[in-house]
Amino acid sequence: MKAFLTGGKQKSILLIMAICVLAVFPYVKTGYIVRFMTTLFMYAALSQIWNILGGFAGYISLGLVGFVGIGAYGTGIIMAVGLNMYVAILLSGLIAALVAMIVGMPILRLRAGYYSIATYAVSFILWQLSNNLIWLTGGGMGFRFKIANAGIDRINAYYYLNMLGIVIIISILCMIISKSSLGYGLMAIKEDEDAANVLGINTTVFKVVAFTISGFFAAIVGGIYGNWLTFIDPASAFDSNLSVMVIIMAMVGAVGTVAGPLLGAVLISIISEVLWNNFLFVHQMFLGVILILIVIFLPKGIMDIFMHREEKLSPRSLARILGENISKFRV
Amino acid sequence: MELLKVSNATKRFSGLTAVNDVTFSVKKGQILGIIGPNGSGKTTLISMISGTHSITEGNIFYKDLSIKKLQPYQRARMGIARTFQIVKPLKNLTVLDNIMTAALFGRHQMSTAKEISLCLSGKFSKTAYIHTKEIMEIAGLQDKSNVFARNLTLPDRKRLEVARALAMNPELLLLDEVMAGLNHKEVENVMKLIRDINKNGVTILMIEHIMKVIMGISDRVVVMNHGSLICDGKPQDVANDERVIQAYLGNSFKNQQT
Repeated sequence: MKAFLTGGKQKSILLIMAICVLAVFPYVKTGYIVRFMTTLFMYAALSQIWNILGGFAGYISLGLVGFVGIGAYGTGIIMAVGLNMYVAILLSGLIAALVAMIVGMPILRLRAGYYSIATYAVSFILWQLSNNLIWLTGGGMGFRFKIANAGIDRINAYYYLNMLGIVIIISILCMIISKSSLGYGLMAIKEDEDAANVLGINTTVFKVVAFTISGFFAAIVGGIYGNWLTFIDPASAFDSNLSVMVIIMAMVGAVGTVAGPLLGAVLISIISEVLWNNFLFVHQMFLGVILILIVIFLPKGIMDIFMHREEKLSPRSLARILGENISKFRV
Repeated sequence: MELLKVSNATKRFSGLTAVNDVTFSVKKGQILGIIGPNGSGKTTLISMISGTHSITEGNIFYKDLSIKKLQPYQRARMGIARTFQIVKPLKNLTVLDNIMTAALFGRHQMSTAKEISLCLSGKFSKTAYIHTKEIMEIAGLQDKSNVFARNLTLPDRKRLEVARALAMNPELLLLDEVMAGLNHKEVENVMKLIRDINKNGVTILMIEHIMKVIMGISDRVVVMNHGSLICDGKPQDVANDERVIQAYLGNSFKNQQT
């Protein structure tokens, strides 16, 4: 994981090997585990996308799912006309980017909580649109994709690889952003927007660019998601739980880093899966308790353990980090 | 040549007039000191020049262009850099990244299209990095490049504030009480730093309370009281001006001088 940050040679080789293992995985194993991993990748990708604006610039969006929904519906509608899946996904990505740009220009002038509320409202509006534009989306009855004519395992493997691909692409993009002038600008905006402005950063343009990028990629993930499920309806395509889960994952991992959201997505997915398997009725409660503990002990996220520490990781240093954090905790 | 011209600038915060009809100009290469009691509108004046506050009435000209409608970032691109009296470091970034940010964005002339392409280029600017290293050397922060700004002591934060403004490669540098809270030795160091910056052709406008500094390095001094400009002239003349002594310096200063 840390190779994302330090870029050590050995670590990057390890990382490439890990990707290779993940890529052949659906040909070795089949069934539920592959579907679980696909969902995990989707969360990781969305968490990473949220991280571009939410993590680097501190603009917490509660409406990422809006763009996922645009992607899912857009792809379905364009494919119904008879276009290839990838062309449709790309087109719906561009549509979402355009929407993000137009919507972003006014709402990105808002700060902190007001911005979050506005993004939530946007995703809500999109949900209602999909509900009411029956001629286009099928309304509350949902929208059916064409089901591919192939074995179930092959279909599963296909969407697994697509999701894996998009996670890798977005992670590389985030890595580039974190080292580019866009990343520097966004980080400055997070720290102090007025200071950033005085330093010569056109804060509005930077935020809108980041918002547009995140809209584009969220829609691409949505497009793959829709094709994979083969059936979407307004309530599932614009489910605001998804927006919230994505934020939780990024925050558990560590916002503003590339590895953080990935780590958070893996961790939370696995924890919630294990809980769900073992305590079906109260799994949400246990998940809540675990999240609260993480927030108390590691408020900066799991990556806090690995980052900016001179000493090697050992049970002792871990205990010290947790102790430090808990001593800062105030009720 | 007049680099900056403030003409009849007025700033009102609803009922309160913070700056009232102030007119002065700064020649290229000058060091202009601004003094005055607390609350006399010095910082507001600097904020109006840098763009963080809008101007209610009057106008501000930079290189004979009216800049009163421009955004702070646009003024920064034109070469106006400022420091904040209450320092605004980017706390969770390292010293290096703080200065790097300024170096990446400072004085550039860019269209929006070019700006977007800059956003997306993903280039870690090598020239900006070299420039950052130089600035850290000048400001005496080279040993602290990997320290987080939140962990710096106050003198170092002030240094960082100046370093960041310098990294923007400005033509006009607005310094807002950079020496407040520094000890004798540190003041000497910063004075030398300001002189060096000025020698490299940067015009400086500085607010300062320490009279030794103002008398020592400014070419000209303006005095503000209750939002108005009450005196404008050479440091010596200003120090002997009766109105200035009444409003700001006090009689003991007069006795000290003679």
